Amino acid sequence: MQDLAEFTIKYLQKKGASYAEAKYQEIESNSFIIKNGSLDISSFDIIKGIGVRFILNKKLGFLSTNILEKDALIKQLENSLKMALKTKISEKVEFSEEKANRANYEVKQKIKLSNVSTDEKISILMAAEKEMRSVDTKIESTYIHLSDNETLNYYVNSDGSKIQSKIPTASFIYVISVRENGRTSQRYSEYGGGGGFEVVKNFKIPSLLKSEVEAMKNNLRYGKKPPQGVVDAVLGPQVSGIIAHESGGHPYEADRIFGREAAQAGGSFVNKDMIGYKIGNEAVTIVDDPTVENGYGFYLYDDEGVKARRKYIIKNGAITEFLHNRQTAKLMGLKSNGSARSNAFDKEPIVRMSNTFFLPGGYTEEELIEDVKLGVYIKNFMEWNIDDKRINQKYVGSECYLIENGKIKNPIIAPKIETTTFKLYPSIDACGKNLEYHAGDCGKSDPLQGIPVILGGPSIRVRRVKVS
Amino acid sequence: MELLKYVVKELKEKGADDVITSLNESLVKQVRFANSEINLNLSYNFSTISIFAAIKNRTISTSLKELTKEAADLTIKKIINNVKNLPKNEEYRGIAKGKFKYPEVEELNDKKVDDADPIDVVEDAISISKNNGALKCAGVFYITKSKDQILTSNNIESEEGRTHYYFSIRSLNSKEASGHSTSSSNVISKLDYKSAAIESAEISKQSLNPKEAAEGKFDVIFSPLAFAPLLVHTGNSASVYSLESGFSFFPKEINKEIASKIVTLTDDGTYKNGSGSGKYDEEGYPRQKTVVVENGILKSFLHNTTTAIKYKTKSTGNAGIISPEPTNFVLMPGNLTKEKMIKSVDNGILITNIWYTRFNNYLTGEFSTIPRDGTFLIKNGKILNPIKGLRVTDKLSEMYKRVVGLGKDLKQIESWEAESPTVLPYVLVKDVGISKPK
Repeated sequence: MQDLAEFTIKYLQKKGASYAEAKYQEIESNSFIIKNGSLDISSFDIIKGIGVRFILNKKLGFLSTNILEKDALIKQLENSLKMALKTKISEKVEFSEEKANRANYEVKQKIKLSNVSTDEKISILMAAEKEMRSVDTKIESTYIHLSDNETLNYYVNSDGSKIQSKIPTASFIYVISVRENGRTSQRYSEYGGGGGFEVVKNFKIPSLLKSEVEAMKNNLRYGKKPPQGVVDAVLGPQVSGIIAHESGGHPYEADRIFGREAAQAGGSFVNKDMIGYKIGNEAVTIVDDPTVENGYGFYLYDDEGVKARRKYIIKNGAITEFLHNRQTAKLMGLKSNGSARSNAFDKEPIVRMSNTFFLPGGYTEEELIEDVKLGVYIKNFMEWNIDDKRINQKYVGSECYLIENGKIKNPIIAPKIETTTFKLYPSIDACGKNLEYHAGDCGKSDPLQGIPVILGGPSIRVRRVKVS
Repeated sequence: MELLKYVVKELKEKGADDVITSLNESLVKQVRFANSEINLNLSYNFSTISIFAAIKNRTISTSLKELTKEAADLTIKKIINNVKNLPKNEEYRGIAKGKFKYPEVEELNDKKVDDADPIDVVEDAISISKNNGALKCAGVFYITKSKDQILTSNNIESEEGRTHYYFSIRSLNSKEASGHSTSSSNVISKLDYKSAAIESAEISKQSLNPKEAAEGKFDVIFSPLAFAPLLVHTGNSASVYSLESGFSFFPKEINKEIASKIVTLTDDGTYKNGSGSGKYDEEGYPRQKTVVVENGILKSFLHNTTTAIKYKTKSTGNAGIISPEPTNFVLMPGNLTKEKMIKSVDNGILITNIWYTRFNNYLTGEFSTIPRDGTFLIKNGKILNPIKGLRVTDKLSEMYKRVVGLGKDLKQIESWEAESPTVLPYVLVKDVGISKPK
């Protein structure tokens, strides 16, 4: 099928395309859903297909298909070229000049996913169910979804890039509902990483889910109202991770800055002249790094053939770099920094995050806490959202505790932080050493592309934030 | 159909008790635009056979993308090998048994689909938005043509052709002033993209120079686009699967009062020109209209054959083989015009779109969401000025009890935020919680 990808490039060049690229992909996947202790469904799938993008007369076209026959593909290509030529009110699309890359890489699997029986995968989930039910509380419902997949990519473009990669990943999500004293609490979270079955083993699903149920029980049984008003907050890695993603990553995606996502994922408060703008405290450095080994958003070459590297989005509180693909890089007179991704062969590559996180500081979590007179410790969260300009954001804590005179005290119920990017980032005065990577599926574009990303960070301390 | 027959026959011979196979062939044309220019044309051409099999109460699903006998043989072999290692699905009760008489659904398949030109529509819409005062606009237009065939081991064999058009436009006059509108239809003659372009531009102009607003309780008028994501969640909550897995704010027993008397909710898989309409569901059971809430009283959940048997009721034609899914979820209209509704509000807010709805607890319906695009303060029955920086923070289970007014006109909505089809009017809710960042 690599031949078909290469044929497509040549065909488009012959038709006058100034640029063409094709991505052939094979995705083999398995998934299991356990609901209330019963295996609802086991699914497996093998998807093969090709996605093609081209520039003709500075107009951009994209097509994808799983019908891997030359004649059908030519027909589709011809229709796409015709559509491009017909367009009158059109953006003039140009890409930055980039080096042609040739590479072949893969993420190693210590325990090959294909060597692990369905039995073993399911038994981990069943063990988790048993562990959760062993906690002395009433569980209303449980829902666990475990997936793994192995993706083979073959990318080729008219600049001469040829890149092959094999990337296995595993992930699981869970939703747990617990009832205590007539009240309910829920936890939803996701874990994911690149690698073989060792990734699933490292999740330690049974003990993780048991500890979630314990925490929910304690919160419902012993939790008190959170302090109201302006206090300090120490936010655990799961919370700093979602903050890094939502207001430390998204606003700096250059396609949003240029208005390309206006009708979907929205715009940004950032404009193209804000490089150097001091948005946060010195303690704040946020990077997006696709090369993090075993990261859920790992890649070494992006979906435009550009070599991936770490990007410092915010360095010591100042905006330093946006996330670019070749189109937005050209608009700003730059080189791409390798941020183009599509979630599969059937979608266009666009500017995306990969593994985005606060860089750690020099404090232990205890040190962050011991300097707080009155405040809240928010380990993780349930509800969150942010406006489409990435300013107005809210986080509602799930497992949380009162901090009094530098010590963790009783659980507190659902403290809410509702703040803005401009208030939050200058208030982060210290970062812990305890960097953690949490997983998410980030949604953008139309059709919606959910893409695997890391939302990461250490515990961070926020001074004088309004809690309700 | 020949390959479907082969898969069903082979799986039955190899010990499957129930088999469902369906072939979907779809061709999609799409045009994206931003900054008042077309920035990409796209096309998707896909053929997929979905396969579900139950063997001694072990359930498995997969799909077949290469439509050849050889590929089918490999997949069948893998099904048989994999199923041996699975535990029993204790919840599984079977699939629909045919034959059925299917409903005639009006306006499902447009004969003019091959003549429809997405470029012409988008270029016209960009001009309309501009001529109505928008500084720039962005959006998307899809044309979908698909053909489905279904064959099961339980005497069900059918097929249908479908077409669909979806247009979405957001006009912008500044970073803080924008308006969004959509139009969707199965037939091009009823796609009203021109009105969507005009509406988005008008809301955008009206929302220039928004002021900060206060926190507190307000009577809120939600436009159909703004309430649709909440209605999608309500439709999902009506699935008995959501109820079992902790994703529903509905009580577990029917005949309970869960909404104000003016609220009637139906799921209608036969809705004329409905985006989610069709003759049959994923197991080949006929689509139908189901009253979920009648005058505020919960009347029914959404079922497939397995859940219907478990709960001693009849399927509502909403398979999803594992999870029943809503089709077109309809909030029935009231008798108010939008103008009358605004006139009835002393201290309120008009919200024309929402964004990023997230739940703190699906069981209680505690959620928050952010008004996006034109949002307006209403005082003494009149729109006073645009406002910004708000968040709706409320409980969906309580909000339905505070619905005091419904518009008289229904609009079909699907959008980036409302992932499954809804049909609804303007909705007036009393005492909605409004919060702001500090």
